Amino acid sequence: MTLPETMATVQGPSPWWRRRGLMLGLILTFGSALIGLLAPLLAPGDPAALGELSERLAAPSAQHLLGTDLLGRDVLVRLVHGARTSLLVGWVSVLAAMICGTLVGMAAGLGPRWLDRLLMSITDLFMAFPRIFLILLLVSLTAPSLMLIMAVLGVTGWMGVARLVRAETLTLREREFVAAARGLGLTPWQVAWRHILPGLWPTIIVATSLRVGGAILSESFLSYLGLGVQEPMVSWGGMIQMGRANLVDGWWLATLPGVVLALTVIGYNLLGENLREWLDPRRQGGGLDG
Amino acid sequence: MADNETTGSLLQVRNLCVDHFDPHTGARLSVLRGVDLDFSPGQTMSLVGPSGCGKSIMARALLGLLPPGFNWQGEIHWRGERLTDPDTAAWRQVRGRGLGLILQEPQASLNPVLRVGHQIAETLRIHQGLDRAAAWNEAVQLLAETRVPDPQLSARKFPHQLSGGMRQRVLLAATLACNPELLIADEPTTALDVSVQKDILALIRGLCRDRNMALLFITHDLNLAPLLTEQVAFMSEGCIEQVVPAAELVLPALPRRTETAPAEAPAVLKATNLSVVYPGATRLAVAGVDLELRPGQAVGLLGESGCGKTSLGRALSQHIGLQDGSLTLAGEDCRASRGAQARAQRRRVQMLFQDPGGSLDPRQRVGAALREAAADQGPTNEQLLSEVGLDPALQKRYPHQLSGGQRQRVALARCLATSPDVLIADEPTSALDAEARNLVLSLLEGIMRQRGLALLLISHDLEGLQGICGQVNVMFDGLVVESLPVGTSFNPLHPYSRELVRALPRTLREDPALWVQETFLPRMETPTSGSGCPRQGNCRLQKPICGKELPPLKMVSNNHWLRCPEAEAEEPSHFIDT
Amino acid sequence: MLPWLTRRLAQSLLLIFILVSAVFFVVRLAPGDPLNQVVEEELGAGDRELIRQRLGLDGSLIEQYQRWLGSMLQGDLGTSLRQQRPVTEIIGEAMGPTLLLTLTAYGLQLILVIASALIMATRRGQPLDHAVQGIGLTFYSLPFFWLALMFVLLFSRQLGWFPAGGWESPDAAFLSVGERWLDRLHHLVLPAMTLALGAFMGPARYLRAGLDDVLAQDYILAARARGLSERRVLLRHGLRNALMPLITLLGMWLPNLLGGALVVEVVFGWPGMGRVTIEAIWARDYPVIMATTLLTGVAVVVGSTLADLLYRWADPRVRIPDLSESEGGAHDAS
Repeated sequence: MTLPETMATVQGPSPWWRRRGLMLGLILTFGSALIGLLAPLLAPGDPAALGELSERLAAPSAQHLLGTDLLGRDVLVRLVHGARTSLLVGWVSVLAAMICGTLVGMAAGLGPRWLDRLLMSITDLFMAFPRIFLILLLVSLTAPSLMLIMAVLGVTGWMGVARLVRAETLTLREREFVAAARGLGLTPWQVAWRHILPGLWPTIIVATSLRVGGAILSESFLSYLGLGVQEPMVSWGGMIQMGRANLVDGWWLATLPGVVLALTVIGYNLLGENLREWLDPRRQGGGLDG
Repeated sequence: MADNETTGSLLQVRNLCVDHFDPHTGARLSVLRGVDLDFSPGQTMSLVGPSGCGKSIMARALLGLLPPGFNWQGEIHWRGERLTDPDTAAWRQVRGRGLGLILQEPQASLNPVLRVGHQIAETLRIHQGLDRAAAWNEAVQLLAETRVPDPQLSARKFPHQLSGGMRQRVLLAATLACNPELLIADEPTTALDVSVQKDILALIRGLCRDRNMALLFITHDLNLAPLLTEQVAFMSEGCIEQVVPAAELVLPALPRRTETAPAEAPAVLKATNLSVVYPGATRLAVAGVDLELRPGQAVGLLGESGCGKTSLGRALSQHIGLQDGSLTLAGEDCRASRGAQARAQRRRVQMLFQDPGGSLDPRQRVGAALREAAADQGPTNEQLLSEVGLDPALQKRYPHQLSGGQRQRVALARCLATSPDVLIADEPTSALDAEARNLVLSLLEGIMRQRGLALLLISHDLEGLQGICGQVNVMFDGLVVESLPVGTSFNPLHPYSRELVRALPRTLREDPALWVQETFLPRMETPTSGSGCPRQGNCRLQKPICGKELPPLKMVSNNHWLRCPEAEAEEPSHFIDT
Repeated sequence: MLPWLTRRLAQSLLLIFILVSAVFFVVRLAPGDPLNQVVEEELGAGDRELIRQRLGLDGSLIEQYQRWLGSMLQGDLGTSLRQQRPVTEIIGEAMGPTLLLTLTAYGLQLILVIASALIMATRRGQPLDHAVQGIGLTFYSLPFFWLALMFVLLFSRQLGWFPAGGWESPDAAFLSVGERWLDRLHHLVLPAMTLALGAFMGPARYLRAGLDDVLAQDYILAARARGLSERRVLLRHGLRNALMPLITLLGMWLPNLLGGALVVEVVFGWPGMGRVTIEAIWARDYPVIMATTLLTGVAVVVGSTLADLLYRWADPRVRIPDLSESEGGAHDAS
């Protein structure tokens, strides 16, 4: 049953501003990005500056809106600066993984059969192992640093993308418009660039959004284990780790970074999910042939 | 329609309206606008209309199975009782025991993970309260009634192990398990080959007579309507416009090619002993075909699903590699060329695909697609679009903003942008409505003559080929079994070609005696025992020699080649005028 | 079937071999002497050599690799550098608690997955659908360790309903068998809940998408048109087909049984495989790292093989590939 033509023209995808989920996702992701970018303006204090002895473990008040930690540092200032770490790690590692995965996936999907087999064997080998185990193993090899975390998250994150992109490439490759493009005498590179890659964009965009959330979670866990970024850099995971010791008398220490972290990740997941629905033509319209 | 409140009324529909609410745009689209319908027991009616006119929605509304987002108003009475809520047991009882539905795609209409016998027995157990064993036996009986060969064994099979025609029989058996009084058949043969279509239609007709079952036959093909039903209702934009007795129906005349132009120009594309095999497959998809295409002439390629006609088309346009044989384009060997030379050759042989929605990049505007094809030379976009009779303003549109016929014409314009020598059209009209179909066919013919293009028209539908082609090749199992001229008449000799012609709805209507002959054995699988004629086992002229060696393609008269010595020897009993 | 299985197992053995070898060299090529984990650096050179020999840390890396491979093939996984106990013993102790935790959690999760997917698919666009989606997405986006901490804060510290960590009370040794298991169940509640709630939305969304696809199929319409009840259509025709792709996910389930509870085990101090792994990584206790690598590799291979077998059993289209090829039927093979 195909969509009646008259209906197909009337029913475009619904405008993005009408989708509550998409809007909420945009607000949360752009909000956290703004906070990260404008951190020095929003919270001018030094996140590592030690406070007065009397200000240690102070509950939220007018002076310290979200309280202070064991060393008297302002929690709000640290939260704002923590956004920079989380987003930097999340975006850099995911972009690296996406570029790598897209290249591998397209090469496997469009290249000769032997290349496909080789690339997919390597991908399977990497994928066979639970990711968290690989991350921990690699991170523990040398002294923890921002670069190391981004590299490890990137290196362990490309395989899923490669599989996804390969599968999508294989279906696109069989579409008749690709055959038609070849028939027009386009070179394989032109076909890949003009007709395959544009078809991959929805997949890539959705996967990026969903993966940034995942990478932020991974970074926070590493920081929680003490394998993440080190002082004086601030990270939300590290703050939760510090707050763990004062779960009851300093409840805000472990709770608030978690809330901020969760809101950011919810934002990326919402954005990804709704973009998927919005960009996927198969999920649009409900018409039936008459 | 007569509106008698007779007690014998089966189904009575008054002022049925259906609309569809789109939650995203907030728009309300009217699908059915006040349909009245009456059925008495044993009454048969066809519902004919173009796609999108609301036919399928009406079938679903009668069953109370409208998709989410659709609302209905009006009155539906079943045996005098008004049906109101689709979720009630009353309506479910009607679904189970009164109304039966069979659908277009037999592939999709059966649950892939359950044995077919199970799916029939399940219905029997629920509606007739049979126990497991009795239900199974009854299911086997029903399969026998729908003439599934070896019903005991077939009941144990999964849907994917059956051919399309068999699946449709199974679905029919499962529907009969409800013992329906009114059968709704929604395009039941659209996805099937013409020969299988004939058998399924004959089966439905027989079942309706034997069981005194009323029939609502939904189709887009006017030719089929008078074969099955006494009345034909025409539907358009959600309304039933008129109902006429089938006997009074006058079918539109076929386009006929009168002139024969055997101008012997040299072949521009020449294939010799062309073979194609797909990786991993054991059988050849194309098994040694010779073909010559000449400028300004159209050659037809006729065959059913799986006969290799699409593979042949793709091999000729160099989209897939050859296993064997040679292919020359204006004297140049295509198999030897690589890189830029191969790409240049590919531009000279263009292919027009079946589905215009799939052959245009959905992310490319019409103008950009044409520019890309022309490679910044040749005719302008405006020239190309006007050549296919489209408004140049359509350049700014995306493919999804065009109708099916417009898309196919844009695809044709894109083919012309490379100024090709050869055009290979693979079922270019089978996805289109009748009106768009005629337009595209006449465009193809005009362009062929004007530009002196060599045209290969691939189709499963003989009637589509007749208006344009001078010569038709009939293909079966990767082989050309017969090649003959087509003009005012079409007189094939090969038993397979003749059965194809006999299965055409027009032929059936003219000669009802043909209904009775079940010419094709129900095909569970294609016989492939290696050597010999591919039709062995399914042929009325079969001799022991047929299993031993493949007969050669032999010229029997002017421009007529035949791959069957038995048919050549046989005195043609009667020619079939088309 | 049998040749398929043989080929599959051969590939798997190769995979495990490559994996284990890669991890061996990566761990050992990292800067730092593993001996420092065991003895003080100030120890005399002679004594160090002696201990080095006893621990099998002498000779070139290749020699050590050969020795390790040899003893592994004989079932000897070596001795933990940190704990000075046989690795098999350590892993044997940790296996029980891990399986208890993960099996409970995954059982809970499966119920959540199916229930929420059914709700989402059948109540599409209704408030209940939105509620389930919202809750699921929120849990899905929470960091596991933080969710665990919040559970501890709420249910343990504030309400005092459940213990905050460990897998049995300090006095467990003095309890009867029945009481001891009750005690363990009491400890199990919070970690199992964290694990089940934190991740159910992933597979649930997957299943919901599958249900959406299946319920739009013609055979569902045909089944409804035959007057089958909605419940039967949904469970027998809908759910069964929709669960099929989920079987592939089960392949990843087995390795996760062993390693996936890592985060939760660390936060709750659950004495399972995850904690053993993490402590070994921290301490560069490479015999233990190698053993857990090996075990995970085996779990991965067994898991995916089982999933494939299950898939072949559940989906007739894959089960009999030879028949389906020769009887293409309706589809144009060309």
